[in-house]
Amino acid sequence: MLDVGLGAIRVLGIAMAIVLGVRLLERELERRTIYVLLTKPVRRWEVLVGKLIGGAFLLLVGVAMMTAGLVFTLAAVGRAWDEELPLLLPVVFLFWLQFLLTMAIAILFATFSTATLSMLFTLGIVLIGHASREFLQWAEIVRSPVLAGFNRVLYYALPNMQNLNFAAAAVHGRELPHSIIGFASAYVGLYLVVVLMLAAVIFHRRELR
Amino acid sequence: MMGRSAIVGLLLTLAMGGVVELGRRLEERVAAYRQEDETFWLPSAAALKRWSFGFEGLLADLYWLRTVQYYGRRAFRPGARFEHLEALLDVVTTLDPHFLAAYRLGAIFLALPSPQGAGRPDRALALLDRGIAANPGEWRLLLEKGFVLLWDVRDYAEAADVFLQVSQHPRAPTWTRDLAAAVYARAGRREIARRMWRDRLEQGENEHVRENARYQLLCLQAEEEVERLHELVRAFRRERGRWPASWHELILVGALTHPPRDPLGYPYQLDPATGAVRLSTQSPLILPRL
Repeated sequence: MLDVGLGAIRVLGIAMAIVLGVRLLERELERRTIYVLLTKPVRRWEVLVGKLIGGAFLLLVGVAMMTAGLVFTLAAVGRAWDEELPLLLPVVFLFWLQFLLTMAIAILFATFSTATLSMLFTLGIVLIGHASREFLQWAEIVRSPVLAGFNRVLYYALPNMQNLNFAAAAVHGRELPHSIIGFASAYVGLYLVVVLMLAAVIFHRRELR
Repeated sequence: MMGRSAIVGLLLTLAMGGVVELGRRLEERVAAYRQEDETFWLPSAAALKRWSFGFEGLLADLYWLRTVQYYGRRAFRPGARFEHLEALLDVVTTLDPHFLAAYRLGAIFLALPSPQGAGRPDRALALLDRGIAANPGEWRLLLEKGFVLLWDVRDYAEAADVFLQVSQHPRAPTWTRDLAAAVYARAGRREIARRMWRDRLEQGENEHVRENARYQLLCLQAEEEVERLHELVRAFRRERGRWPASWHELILVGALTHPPRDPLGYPYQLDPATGAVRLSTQSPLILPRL
């Protein structure tokens, strides 16, 4: 029950983050409301940050509602939800960070690509991010030092989504150490800065017609 | 303008460096956490099947990939443990009870001694038995069971029985009969082995098979002769309190009429220090139980 519920939250959350990230900017550009916005004393990077903050709040509400639904279902089938909730919350918080990162990547792609392509690119990055450990293992296996280095660069450069996924901990009733939550928050925070800076640079140079 | 680009580039590089460093530290902590008791997120096989909505085959494939990765990441590494291997195989084979590769390769992964595998031939046999029950017409699973019994459990008699069962399957290749005969010989059940090799000699499908059967019969004969000679040597020792120095001494006491030779005419070797009887090093024969 718990593993299926957490799985559903992840799938829905990632889908929501991708659509939200792409649509937030795309709709402004499509309806040309971005011109109105940019006539105000607002810089382009501020628009992106604003979109991210608004999206983050929406995601938070979505995650909270899904978590409440899961807890309600657990209670309905007679599970001790009050014991599971303290274990569940840090896991769901890390899910939210994962969704934030996904949304920021979607915003980055939306600054220079079409909506469909941006969604596909973001989904690709998310999927690779869940299997990025493979790059590290390839780096250990391949004989060429150049290929090994390339794989290491990919491993560290791509967002490591698997290190934000601790559904197993909640399912097995294991508490998450605070250090992991702290480092994961810092990692996602700094990654958001990098992605937003890149998005801002691209958006700044984009010619709006 | 250039100055601003340079600043942005520098800031981006610094931030990316920070991301890499934080990612590395997070990775260390996550690795330590996951190693504590190697908690593994593995849903119950029955629940997974219920929730697969008709995609059991696809899920079985995905879990099989996960199983191979799980095995591959541990095999041949000193101190490797394979605690979840059986559970993973259980998920795969519950989702798709006809997944033959999972039974066959899974049994090998389970049976191989550590660090190549889990060192659990008993669990390998249980997995194969489940596979055989779910796929009654599948001789290859029986063959795999025979190999686990032969190489890992070293229960030659039971392995030979299983190989005999395989050889009686209409789709099984004929070499499985040779295999059964050879393992019966290895188990010391010479009479069955001899009957099977005679049958292969008379009804073998080609000259190569018949030649091999002839050779195996000679090996069985040599083994019998070695045992008989060893009995004579032991009897000599019981009487004289020492091992015979040569075959000649056994001829003198009337136990033998001439120096013994194997079925191909090579003289048997007697070790006067230990009383051991062996084939000549020149002889092409091999004793089945060696």
